[in-house]
Amino acid sequence: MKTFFKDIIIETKKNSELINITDIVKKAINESNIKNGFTIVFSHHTTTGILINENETGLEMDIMNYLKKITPEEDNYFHHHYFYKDGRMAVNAWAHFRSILTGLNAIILIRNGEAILGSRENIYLAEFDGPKERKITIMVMGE
Amino acid sequence: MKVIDFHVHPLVKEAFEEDKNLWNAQKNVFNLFTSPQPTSTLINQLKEVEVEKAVLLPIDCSTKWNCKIPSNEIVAKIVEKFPEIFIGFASIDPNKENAREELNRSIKKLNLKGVKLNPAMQSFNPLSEKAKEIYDEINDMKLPLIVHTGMVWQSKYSIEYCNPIIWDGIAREYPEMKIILAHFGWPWIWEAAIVAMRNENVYLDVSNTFTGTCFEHMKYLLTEAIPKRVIERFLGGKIVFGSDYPRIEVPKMVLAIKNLDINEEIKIKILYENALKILKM
Repeated sequence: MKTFFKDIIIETKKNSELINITDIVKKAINESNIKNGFTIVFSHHTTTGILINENETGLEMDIMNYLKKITPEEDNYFHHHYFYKDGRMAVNAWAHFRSILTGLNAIILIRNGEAILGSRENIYLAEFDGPKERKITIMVMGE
Repeated sequence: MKVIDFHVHPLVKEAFEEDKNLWNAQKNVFNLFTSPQPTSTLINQLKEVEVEKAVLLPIDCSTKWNCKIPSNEIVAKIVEKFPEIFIGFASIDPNKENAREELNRSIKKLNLKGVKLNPAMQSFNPLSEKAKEIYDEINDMKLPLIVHTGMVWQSKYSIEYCNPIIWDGIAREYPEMKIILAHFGWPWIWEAAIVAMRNENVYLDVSNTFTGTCFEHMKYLLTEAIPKRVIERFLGGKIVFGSDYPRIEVPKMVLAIKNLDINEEIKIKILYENALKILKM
């Protein structure tokens, strides 16, 4: 059993956006030389998400709009106070909720060196509190 | 709606690459523990909400803390790389020997456009003779001065010299020197307001959020704690927008102002025109 790790830095451009990282993940699988196994894509930030869904522009907008609708930015969140650990105000509880709803990782199976993805399945990094520089780690495990 | 951000701390990755001491200074003196972002993501934040110019503010804490957050030279380098978006200010530690001469050299050599002082972090009395030597130089050079006023979260710093009322006497002694009281002097907001109302040369910046989210604090500050009518009728020409990046994201602060229930022309003045006037652009 082999393991392969790759860290990727992604600079997001908007406050809220979906970034298609399918090709980045496929490239890491290829670099790993692992033919059969699985990969875990993990984001290091609790105001981002990793998700798999259909690559369609309208749906990408709907996903973000729906998440905004169910996690309103102006509400009475306890999180919104001075955060001594950071030395600044915490003002993004809603971004954390969106991250919880999407999750911070995705698992993709690998067979014969290829990611097993449905024809419409793409892998996304979701930015909920950008623009920021974000880090994801891709781990590939198998033989 | 165009915007000028008058309060940006240039604590970007590139600054940390230039000064290996800066991370310790950010943590132990500036008391900010979040990882720095590259300049490009700061620019993305500015572009997201149509910020045309951002004023970069260093703090020279040489004598008390042996650091600069960051140095004037680093500010100048960032401006040199992105002159279309950044305006650099200088900082000088008033406790330094030859502070006045150093400020003069720094401004001229680095082409900086104003001065930032922070009585709490730099540990100086704004009414002291040493501080007045700095004002003399700023006044001679016809530069704007932005000063920290109001709350400091870290109890290791005294807030004795952060009450904005202190600046009333200085404003009267230097009537030609434009003084911007940062953070609206919060929680001494009425003190800050009256100093700005009675002195033509005094302005207020709205940077940071002390009582909740950006919108909650801006709404409280500009429509409730100080009534909307006072902001619109008395202080419309005296308030400038500032974010306090990286203590807060720029887009959140801009949107907080844009979403306020105040007169649209006053919003334009706050977000853009008042700063334009101070910076003589």
